Amino acid sequence: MFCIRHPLRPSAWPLLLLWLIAAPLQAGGPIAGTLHSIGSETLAGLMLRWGEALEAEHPGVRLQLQASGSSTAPPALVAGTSRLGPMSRPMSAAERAAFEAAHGYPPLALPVALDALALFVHRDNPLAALSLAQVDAIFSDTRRCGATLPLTRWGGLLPGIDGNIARYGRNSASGSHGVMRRVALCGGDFRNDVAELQGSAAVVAAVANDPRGIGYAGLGYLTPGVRALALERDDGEVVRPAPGTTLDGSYPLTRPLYLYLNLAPGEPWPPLERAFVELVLSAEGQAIVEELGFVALSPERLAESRQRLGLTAP
Amino acid sequence: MIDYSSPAVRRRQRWRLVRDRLATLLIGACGTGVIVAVLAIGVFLVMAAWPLFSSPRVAAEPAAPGVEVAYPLAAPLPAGLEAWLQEQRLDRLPRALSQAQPPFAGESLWLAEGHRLTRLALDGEAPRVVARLPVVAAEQRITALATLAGGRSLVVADDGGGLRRWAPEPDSPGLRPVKTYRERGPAIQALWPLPESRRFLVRDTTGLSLYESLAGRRWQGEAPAGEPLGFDAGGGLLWQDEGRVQRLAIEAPHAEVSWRTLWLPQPYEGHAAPQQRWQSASEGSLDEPKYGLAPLAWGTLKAAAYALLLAIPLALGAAVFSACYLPRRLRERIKPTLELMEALPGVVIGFIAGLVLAPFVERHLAGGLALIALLPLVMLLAGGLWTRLPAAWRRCLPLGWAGLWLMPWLALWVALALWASPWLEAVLFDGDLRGWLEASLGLGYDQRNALIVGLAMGFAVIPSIFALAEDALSGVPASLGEGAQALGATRWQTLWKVLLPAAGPGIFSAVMIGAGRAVGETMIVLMATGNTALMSASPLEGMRSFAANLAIELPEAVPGATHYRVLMLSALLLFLFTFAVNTLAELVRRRLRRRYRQLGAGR
Repeated sequence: MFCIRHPLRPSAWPLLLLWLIAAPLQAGGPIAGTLHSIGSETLAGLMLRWGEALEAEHPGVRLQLQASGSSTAPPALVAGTSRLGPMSRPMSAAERAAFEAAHGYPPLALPVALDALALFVHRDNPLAALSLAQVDAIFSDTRRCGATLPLTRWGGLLPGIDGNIARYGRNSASGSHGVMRRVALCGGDFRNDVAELQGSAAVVAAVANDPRGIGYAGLGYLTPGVRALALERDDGEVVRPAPGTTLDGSYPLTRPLYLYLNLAPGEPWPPLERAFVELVLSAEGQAIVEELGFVALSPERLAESRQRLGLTAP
Repeated sequence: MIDYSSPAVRRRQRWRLVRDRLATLLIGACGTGVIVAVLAIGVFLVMAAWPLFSSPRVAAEPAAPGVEVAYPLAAPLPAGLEAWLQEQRLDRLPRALSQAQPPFAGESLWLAEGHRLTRLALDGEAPRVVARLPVVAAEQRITALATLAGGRSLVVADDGGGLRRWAPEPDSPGLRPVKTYRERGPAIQALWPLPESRRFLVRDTTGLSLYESLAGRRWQGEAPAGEPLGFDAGGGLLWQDEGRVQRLAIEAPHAEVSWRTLWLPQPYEGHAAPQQRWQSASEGSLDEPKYGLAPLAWGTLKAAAYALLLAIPLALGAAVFSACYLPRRLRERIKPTLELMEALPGVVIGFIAGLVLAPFVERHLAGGLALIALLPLVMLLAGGLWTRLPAAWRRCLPLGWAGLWLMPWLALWVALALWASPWLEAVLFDGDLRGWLEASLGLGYDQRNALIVGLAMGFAVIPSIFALAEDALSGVPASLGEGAQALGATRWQTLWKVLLPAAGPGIFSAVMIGAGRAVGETMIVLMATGNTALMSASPLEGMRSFAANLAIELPEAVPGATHYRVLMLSALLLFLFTFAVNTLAELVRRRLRRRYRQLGAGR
């Protein structure tokens, strides 16, 4: 037996249901509806925050987010299940071709933020900087960047620290792994004793727990337990990973993060996508980028993107 | 007296029958549904993995009008170099450009002169000869040269039909033979590497064949008449034949995969010796993907073996204790408690193992190893002490509670080992056990290693082994044990000679079920190891298992791509393995049940 009486008469339920369905459509004025986004895990936090900001601005808008990897974005865009595809790497030629075959026009690639990869060591490790050849000698067994011998002990880097180097990194299908391989390993192979962990946070946690550890992860994951190493370039200049050095291109381990859009060229933009992209490229959207530990795009690059897309200046 | 003819009763009777039929149908449908679902998963995995082994399709078709050559048959040389070659009258020789290995910078040009290759360095003002290397037998002549995508492998063909892959040596201007595709055969006329892939077409006097840099020959057929022009944007070979342009469509999406490349060591670029390696590449990169399944299979079995090493003695000991020695009332309490351990999620166990246990073990390595090594001895000592106790003391603790006596001793031992750990390390190993292990035994130490996985996953596997073994032991007809004891056998003799042999198949199947669980377990292996695809048996190094590999890489794999299909193949292997193990265990268990029925007949 129910002790609480029904608050509504049974006949009122269909009315309520109707109202629930119709309310979002009326409330937000012209912009309302649901945006679907399927794609990168790296960008999940960003997409979520952008979605929240958009919902705050237009109460009728909902962002449905699925973040299980960059490779899930192209198939979803091709099938039409989503119109936004966040990716932490550019689309491959095959993915682009599949999209063009399905829709007849290329997908629109929009760089939305920069991500800097940093090399982390335990907070008690006195090492300050590494050259790219040293990074290569630590992480690879092909040593294409010029080192002649592999570095396996900390003593080979800094006299005074002892022990073997324990290496931590991301899995080989991830974008971070690809950037490291291309830039820091000169296209060579990782040693097969580099631990592959699930996600950047796990890498940082593992390094924080291992005084002899070194690992690479997104700069945004910096915690008090670890230190980010500076990189020494070939000309002897030491570059710290920071938003400034990432933006001017002097820090080498960076990659752009993309938002791929399914938009037919020449047709007017659907208002939902337009509102979302405007938010992403706005000062507010880029503030969110910095808040989450990524690097915001430079104002010139934003203006250029906006012009390319035909969006109005803020 | 019921009146069966009354309509109400008849109606009720009919309804009863209908309900029975409905229930039967529903239960039947559920049962069939499960079987169909399992079969469907198997069929799906087979379908997903099957295209890996289908042979490539190469077919000529009329070219679409207006199609253009996007990639010429050989990569064009820089303009100045071409002019220099013409000047030196070297422009008719077979040639190829390659990337140099450090310490040599820039590119090298390779020219074939007779049976020798001439290496020209291009880093200076004018090309200069670095080395002349004989790469085929003196009586033969090199007829074609090509570099594969990435420019780090040189394919050399000769008029004796030999086809070999060479790689520049890292520290000298020389070349190192990497792979021989064939020793002799019809004379080879030309080599055409496919754009942006590691495949190449070989034209010899008998026809055309398609080779992959690792897997070798994948297709052989007739060459179309006429002359080749180049590759179009889709990777098809355009062919000029009497004014008509033909297109040779080459569909070999998974040419790099064969049984050999999956399971045997492969000569990967940049490595001196053939290697067993798993290293996938992210989609769209030109890196050479390495799909060696052997390290993953090894890691799967290694993790399971270390887990079982811990779980079998503990679980079987607990099962014997609970089934044979515990009083019934206590047993009914303890058994469900132990089985409750199974409810602990693998993620939690893995998390604790990876982030708490692993650093802890690393800090107290010496103590931990001493603890494990001397634990059985301490237990024996404590047990021996028990028999020396005054009889009055012993009477206080009935047999079922005797285990309590061990507790304080165990706690004492653990505390002692941990307390003495730094001291042990300092005295025996100069304060650096890890260094000592590496220097004298050649053992590397990873923080997340097989020992940690063994501890964590062993803990997770104990409940399933315990439950089944306990059932098998307590199911042994009581008459057997009682009979043995009545004939004067001690408890140990009864257990060893009567109960264990009788329950043997059941215990075996319990271990098999435990092995099945350990092989398929994902989260614990994923979180408690570094997922390093190594092939070492050392308990202090990590591994990567099939299940963990699937969890890591499947979200990033592009459906339909080679990487995805290889992952599906590994899932199929895992499925077949656990299926076989579980079926075997079930069959053994069924036989055991029949035996118990015979032994206990009439009771």
